[in-house]
Amino acid sequence: MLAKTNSFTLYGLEGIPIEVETDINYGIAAFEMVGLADTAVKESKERIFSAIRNSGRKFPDTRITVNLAPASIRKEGAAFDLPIAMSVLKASDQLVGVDLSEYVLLGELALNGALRPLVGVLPILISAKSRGFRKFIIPFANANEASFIGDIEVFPARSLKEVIDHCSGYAPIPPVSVRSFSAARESACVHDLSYVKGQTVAKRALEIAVSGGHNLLLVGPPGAGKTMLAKCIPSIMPDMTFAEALEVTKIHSVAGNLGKDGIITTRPFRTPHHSATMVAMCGGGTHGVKPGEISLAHNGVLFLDEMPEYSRATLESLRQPLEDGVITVNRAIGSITYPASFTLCASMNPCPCGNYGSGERRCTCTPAMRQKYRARISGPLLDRIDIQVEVDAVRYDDLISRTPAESSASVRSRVEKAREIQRNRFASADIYTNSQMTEREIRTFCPLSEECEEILRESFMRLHLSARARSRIIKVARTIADLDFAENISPVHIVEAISYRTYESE
Amino acid sequence: MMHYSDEEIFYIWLDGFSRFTATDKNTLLQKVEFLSDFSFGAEYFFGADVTPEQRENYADLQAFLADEAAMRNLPQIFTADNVFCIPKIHHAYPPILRQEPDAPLVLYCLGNADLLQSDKFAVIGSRRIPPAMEKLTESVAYDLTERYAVVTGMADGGDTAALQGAAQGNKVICILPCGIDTALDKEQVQTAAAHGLVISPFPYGQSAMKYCYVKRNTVIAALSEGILLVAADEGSGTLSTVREAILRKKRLFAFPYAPGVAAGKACNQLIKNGAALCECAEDVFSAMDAPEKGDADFSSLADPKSDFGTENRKENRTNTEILQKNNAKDLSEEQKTVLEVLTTYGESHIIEITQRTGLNEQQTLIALSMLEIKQLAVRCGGNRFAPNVSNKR
Repeated sequence: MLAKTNSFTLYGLEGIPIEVETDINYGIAAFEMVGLADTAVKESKERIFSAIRNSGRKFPDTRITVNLAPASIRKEGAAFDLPIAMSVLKASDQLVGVDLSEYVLLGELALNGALRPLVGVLPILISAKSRGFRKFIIPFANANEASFIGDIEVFPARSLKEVIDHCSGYAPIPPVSVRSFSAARESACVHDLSYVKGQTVAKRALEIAVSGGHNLLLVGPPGAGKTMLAKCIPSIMPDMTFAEALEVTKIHSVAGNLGKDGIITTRPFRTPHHSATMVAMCGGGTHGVKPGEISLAHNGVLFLDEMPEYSRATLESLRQPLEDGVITVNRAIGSITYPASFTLCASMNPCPCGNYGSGERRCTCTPAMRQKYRARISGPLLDRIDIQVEVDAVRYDDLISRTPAESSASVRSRVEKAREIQRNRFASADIYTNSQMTEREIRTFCPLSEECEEILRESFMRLHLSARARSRIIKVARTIADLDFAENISPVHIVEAISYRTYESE
Repeated sequence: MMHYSDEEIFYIWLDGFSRFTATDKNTLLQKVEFLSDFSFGAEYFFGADVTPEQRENYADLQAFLADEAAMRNLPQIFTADNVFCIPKIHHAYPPILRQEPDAPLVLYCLGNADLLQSDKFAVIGSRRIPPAMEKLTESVAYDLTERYAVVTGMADGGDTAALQGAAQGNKVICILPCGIDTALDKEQVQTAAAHGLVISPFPYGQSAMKYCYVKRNTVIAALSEGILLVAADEGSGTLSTVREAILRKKRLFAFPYAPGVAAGKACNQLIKNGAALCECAEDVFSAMDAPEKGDADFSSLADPKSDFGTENRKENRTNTEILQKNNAKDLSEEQKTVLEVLTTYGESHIIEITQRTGLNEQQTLIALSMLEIKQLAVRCGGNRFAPNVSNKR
């Protein structure tokens, strides 16, 4: 007899419908699986055999053929255990009168019949919903992930037996109730700007960078507090909107590092070590094309501590995603595009000995050594970093001062307001922040007065800025103006923006 | 294109012939009067105890002189690179250098040869130099070109700043510590040649060994009428030039530094020992015009009416004053306040400036950036700023 169930597989962040067909024929007992299944899928035979028997059903002792269609798509992972098991039961007349055609089945089976959680359920549900599927049976552990999508019925099951009972109508599973999204008010970040003493210039730069989503480079001697400043970034990052949160959660769902909440409510802050390879950064891997660090940092911050220590190839690979906000990874099994719109925050020393520009300690580096050290970060990459700021060693007096510095919470409230302005500004465009503006948007939203143009022109001549820096300066100036609640960019905003680009001009 | 006499070609060949030791070369040059002298045997030059090696080298020399084609072709190597050679016997060879006991046999030159005839003044400094002093060096070097060709090396920092300043006046003489063809920074050589003259006292193929720097420094010291030391720590290699200059009784000048600034220790030491303090090119001009003082005479300053000579030397005002006067009209109130604090206290951290001006940090930062754009302040790294005391903008 023939039976058919529906399931989905993932291709990047997109779910692709897979039909599982099972045919049972007379003949010597055998289990054949066709349709470009990888090892994990092929091994499902043993799990299904035990799971069916341990759920009080009979595994047919005849010839079974399972086809996963369309045959041209590679199937990976253990999500097909449940649809195959159900189609085997249906084909062997153990689910008489049960209609499985409405359901999308997803789940990995344990030998005792229990359902294990899967990765990538959220992107599958979103894709399936857009393709018209309305009923889903998923492992119970994935229920939270599914609870943010409305207009669908998701039945979380703990075991194969529960699925059988639900489908036959003996014990219907209550569908997951839809939760409304609320961004995490209490940030999990233990760092707070109020603990960072001094560094007023750097703090201001941090605020601007986070407000407008600008890339940031912190330059300073060892022990100045670059890393500490960077670690405070999550504490001042604005809340994510639901759309942003969904984008982030999809990526993290595919990567398999979703927490219990089922949705990511705080902006990601990724800190890959400098031994990270290009694949770790951009995505790829031996088992499918996994999202890399830059995609995991989507809508959040990618922090590269001691930037010159990263391999050249790794750093250069960031250039294209920094411009486009997406990364396309090409591998033998296909080419997959992941979103990668992140804020880059990097830190580095000013010179090999680290003391250049320090008031107290003596720098032993020659200009050539300094130049060589800086050259480890290529011009085009430096050009994409809107804000470059020097963090200097904290003076002892500052360190022990009792006057509390401004707390992250109050900085964050300003950031939120600036973001609000940007959201209203870009309501019609599909961007969120000033840093994502293209030439066209700059022309619309950033008209410059004569005086501003004059300052820009002069600063280019005097400070030897690259021509590409112009639009980036204007974007930063726009953010500074937003923080000021100013409608138009005024000369002070431009000058402040220019002051954050001087590192490259030296 | 330059034409060389046979004798000059002989000099060029001898200079490039590295198998002869310097002593042997001197022996040869002392005894030879005409090229025809080389028809004599090796014993004529080296005496009876001539070594087989000397004999062999001498044979090579004779062979070269006999081979007319080889002689004619030798200068072509240099003409191809636009390099012209000035042998010691050439009339353009600076007489002051010719007096030196171990003067280079040949000067390999690239650029404007006329500069050799002009008055020369050296501006030198070590590689570690504070950014503000770098700017000052550049502007003083430029101002010096009004009267002098500025002699300098090609190292990073002080030398490069002097080179860039003087290049704008098209009167830079740059002395290389290696052959012209082996110079590492080819671009810099071309710049210097386009805006002045590049001289190498070394034959082609000579790489920059340690002893070459010493010889280069000697040439700088010997060529120049005076020397301005813009930056040097104690024990800096730049001081070898200063030592050579002292031996030759050249006039010494140095930039003043604040106490404790490592990059200026040797400069201050030099001033303590009698070198003239230099803040602008005018300081050099007036000191070079005046006869050298024996013991300093401060009696005129004892007069209570004395203005310490500042009024009489109007031209000699420090550039800071000129700069403040010229630019004050374009500045906002905040910028003026910040500039005043900068010029009063010198290099300071942005927080110090904030405290002294009473402005908030953001205002200070904006004012400083504006001053930087207007070339009135210099960023020294680590959020430190200094007034730009150079008058070039």
